Amino acid sequence: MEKQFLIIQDQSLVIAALVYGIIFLVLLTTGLLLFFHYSRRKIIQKELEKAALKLEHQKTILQATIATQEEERKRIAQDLHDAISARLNVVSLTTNLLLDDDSINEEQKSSLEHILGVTTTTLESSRKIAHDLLPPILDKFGLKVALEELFEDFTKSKQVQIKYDIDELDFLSKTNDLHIFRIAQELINNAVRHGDASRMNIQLKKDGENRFIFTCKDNGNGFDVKKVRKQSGIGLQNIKSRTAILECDLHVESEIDKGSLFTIQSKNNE
Amino acid sequence: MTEFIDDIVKYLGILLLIINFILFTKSHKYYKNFMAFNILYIYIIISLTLLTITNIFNEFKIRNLYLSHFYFIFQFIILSIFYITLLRHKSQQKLIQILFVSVIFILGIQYALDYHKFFKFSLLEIFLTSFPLTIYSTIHLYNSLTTRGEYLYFNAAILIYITATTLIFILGNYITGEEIDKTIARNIWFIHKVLYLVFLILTFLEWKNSFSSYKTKA
Repeated sequence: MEKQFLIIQDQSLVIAALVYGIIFLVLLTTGLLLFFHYSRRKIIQKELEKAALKLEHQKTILQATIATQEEERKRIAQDLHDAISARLNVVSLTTNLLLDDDSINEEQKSSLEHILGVTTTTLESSRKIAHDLLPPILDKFGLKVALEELFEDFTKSKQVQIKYDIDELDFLSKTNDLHIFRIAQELINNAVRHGDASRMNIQLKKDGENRFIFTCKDNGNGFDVKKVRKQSGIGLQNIKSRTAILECDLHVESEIDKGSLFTIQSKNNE
Repeated sequence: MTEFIDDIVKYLGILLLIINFILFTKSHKYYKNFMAFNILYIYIIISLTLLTITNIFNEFKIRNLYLSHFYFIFQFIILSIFYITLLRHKSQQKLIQILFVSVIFILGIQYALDYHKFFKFSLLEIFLTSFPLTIYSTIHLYNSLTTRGEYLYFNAAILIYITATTLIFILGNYITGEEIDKTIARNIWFIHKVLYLVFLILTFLEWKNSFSSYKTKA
């Protein structure tokens, strides 16, 4: 009887050890799992932060690139105007003077006329190039007039019919004017070149205090928004960066064969 | 009263295993191209089969201890393959292959030398078939630190269940022995049933998280 009791007591000791052993192992493995879970969360969060930082960095670089590009364009336009156009003007004036001279013979006269012709067309092209690089009208008369001229030019060249409605936005800085102008230029170019659009409708409207909304609708081929979002070309990338500089949201709506609609709207800062 | 709770846990376990089987069968047509899913599915089928056979043997009072060997070896083989498909590093796959061959080799020799071991719990077998699995499970956790992580619930289930139950099975011969007090033994098997229930719940969560909505993953 005594022995029996001792055996049972012995058994319960082993069993108790076993139970505590099991509890210990369960807690240990659970702790291990929790440790991995929280480490994982921390690591993923760090990765996300890193990715966001990288993206921000890329954005800054892109914006700097655009700013430099504009500066360079401005410089080249200025140089074209000062160094080439001014001198070609002197050539053309001198040639005119020589042509007025009666002592030259017919052969010389025709050569001079040829020089005058070439000079005039070169002057015209250099003026056009400078104009494309930096529309002087934007500087002198502001965004509204510059845009109107841009649209009229396209309409006149019969490439595309543009209907427009533009508000005067006096709160925008000169550089921001230029960004909007470039966006409009890029969008029309895209619509004509890639979309085969024949009609466009462009609006630039005031949208409350220091805010605006710009919409551009075309009847071209349209595109797959998801596909373009993944691998946008330089043109669209440029538009995105400029939109970011303007602190605006870009919204693109498009479907194959149903044209496209671009909306650029000032961000809600409140 | 304790017997009543014991029964409840037991039948809950069986019910949950059947539910898991049905749910994984339902998802099978969408995921049949995923190797790991198929292996997990086979694991569930075999678990269900073994459970059914054990219960039938119990009904007819046939001693069923040798079924445990099938259970351990099947579990080891299937989960080794499962982890080979999950762990993608060459060196980790190599580790599994080496351990796999060595374990099967050692166990083969053991049973060739002494087949009487087949009618008791084999401590060496339990250790050799369980310990590598906990290692694989930890390696998989480590791999998942920086990735999206697949089968994390099932992995957690394996880690907790196998680690804790290895201890029970190692003392299995003692618990199933003749001289032990039956009520104490029953309490230990009750703990085992609870752990198995946890295992099945985590498997169910795995299904719910990864396979219940086909569209979100596709």
